Amino acid sequence: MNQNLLIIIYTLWIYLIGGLSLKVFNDQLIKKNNLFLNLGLSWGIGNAILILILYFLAFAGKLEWIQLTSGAGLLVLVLIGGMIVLMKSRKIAWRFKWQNWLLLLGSLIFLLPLIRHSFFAPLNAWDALGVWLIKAKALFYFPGVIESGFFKESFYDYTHQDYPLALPLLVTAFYRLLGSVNDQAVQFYLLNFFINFIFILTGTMIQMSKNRIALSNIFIITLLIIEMPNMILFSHNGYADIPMAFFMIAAMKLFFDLFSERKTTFNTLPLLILMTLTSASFKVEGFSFIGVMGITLLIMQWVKPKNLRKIPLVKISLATLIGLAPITVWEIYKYKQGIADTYAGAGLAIVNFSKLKMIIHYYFNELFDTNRYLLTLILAFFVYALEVLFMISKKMIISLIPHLIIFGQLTAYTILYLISPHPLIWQLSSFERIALPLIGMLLMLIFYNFNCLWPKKNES
Amino acid sequence: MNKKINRIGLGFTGIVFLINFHYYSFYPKDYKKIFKITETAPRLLTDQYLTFQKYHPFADLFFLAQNSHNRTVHYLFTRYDSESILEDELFIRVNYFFYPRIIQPVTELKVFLDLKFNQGDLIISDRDLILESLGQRLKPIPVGDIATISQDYFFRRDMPYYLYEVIK
Repeated sequence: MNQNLLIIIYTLWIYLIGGLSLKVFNDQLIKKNNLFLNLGLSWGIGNAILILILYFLAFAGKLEWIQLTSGAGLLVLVLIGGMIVLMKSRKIAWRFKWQNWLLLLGSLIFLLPLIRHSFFAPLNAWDALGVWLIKAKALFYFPGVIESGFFKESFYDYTHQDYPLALPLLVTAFYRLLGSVNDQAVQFYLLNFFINFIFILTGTMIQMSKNRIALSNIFIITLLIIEMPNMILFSHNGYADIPMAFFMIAAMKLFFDLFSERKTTFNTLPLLILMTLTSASFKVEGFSFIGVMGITLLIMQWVKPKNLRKIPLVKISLATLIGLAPITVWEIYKYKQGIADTYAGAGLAIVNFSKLKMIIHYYFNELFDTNRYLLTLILAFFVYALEVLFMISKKMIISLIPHLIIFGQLTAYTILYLISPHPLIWQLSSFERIALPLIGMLLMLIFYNFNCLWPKKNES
Repeated sequence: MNKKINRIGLGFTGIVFLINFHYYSFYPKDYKKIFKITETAPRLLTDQYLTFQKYHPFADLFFLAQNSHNRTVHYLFTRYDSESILEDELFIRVNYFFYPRIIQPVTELKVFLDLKFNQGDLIISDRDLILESLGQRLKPIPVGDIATISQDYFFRRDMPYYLYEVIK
């Protein structure tokens, strides 16, 4: 079977698994959300489930179970499940406004060069070859993590053997379905993380604007985000930063929902937990995000207490299990096998505050880098800063709680740079990539602020 | 929000979009170079993996790895620096393309020249070996001239590399 066609089917299958799970576990959210948010969340849930299964197979040494025949069998099962669910609730697709479909089509047309590039350009990025996809190869040639021997082989120390395995495993699954290492077409699958990153942003804009901002404006803003060179560069080049950023901003969107919901509603909390935990399956920066999100949730509970008796314990346990199991298994394996930690040697003892000036200088350099972000980021930051000043002047302090997520994550990066045993310049060179989720969060906060400052009249 | 504000917003974001697009349009144009250089039209329903690998700035290394089964590969890597090894394009590609084989690099020229070479062995090197004592036994395997390979934001090759086959 044609490999490009297979990757398209495989990608759609992930949407389907995620969409069905969302339908079964949180139908209310589907009804509340627009097309873009539902697509984004479906993609996130589908991948989170897949990661759990792949980690299990990788540590059981059973990755060889993933074959074209088993994949086709699963596809048929999911399709049957999908048909049963859809029979119960028809017209699901047509519930979304036609303008949303038009916006989706417009965005996809604008993304065509990237889609084309993802199918036909050879994989060429440093970390993709040196860190992430070489591990995917190891897990393709051998049936499991232990069997591969890769993670204990000192020759491959430079690949950061301690980094999480979600990306290599997801790519391996594709290689195994194809029966060969096609690191070219797999970029289309990776591009979907970027597409859904955009979908979550667009969906949030539509939802927060509540029909007050014309869709034509939202479309142009979406294109402004897509055309940022730094986004394009990392959109499908085999780095784990955009997938991690996608899960982080999906979690942030769900936090907005939780924050604005009634006192007894925890509708989005299980998914929020799942998205937050899954971000740590891609990159270690996800761990700081778990901490930041946890602290922000505690602050929210302290400032705007919700009735904890109404908490959906079963759904939360399930989401925690799916999100936490992969990272726990990996951490235990690393500890038992003595796999060297990239940040071993980091600690407060080596903190040198003179570094702080340089770190902050670097942050501002990134913010004003028009080569990477054209005019979009500077203007976005300007609007964001004005809104925040306005909110402070109006004493809307509680409404600023979601801002703790972006500031918390930036603070976590700063602390990491301060305590890291590696040369600061080498460390800071990664900021162009780990800044991507922060940029997504900043853009979302602009619309959140807008909604707080100028609520729709019948809501104020 | 009233229509007037929306129109002003559309005008403003539209202008920013057009300014940005001037830079964005660079990317779609660059993508097209792939098809020009490989002289192949992209077809979604045809497997063209090997065809488009020709566009890779390390394509010759890739194809060498594909055809190196059962052959001994020697690797001279004199610019080895353990601190910045991940940044060396040749090193990460040799390991990636040849996986699961480990091609252990030799980091000193003197040690490398003392190795025992057999006819048919392959050599990857980060320096030209033709003028060395070994040179007469080597047949260079052509490596695409960097000037003829499109260098853009995505595809770069900053340092040269050399490929040889031992012929005697």
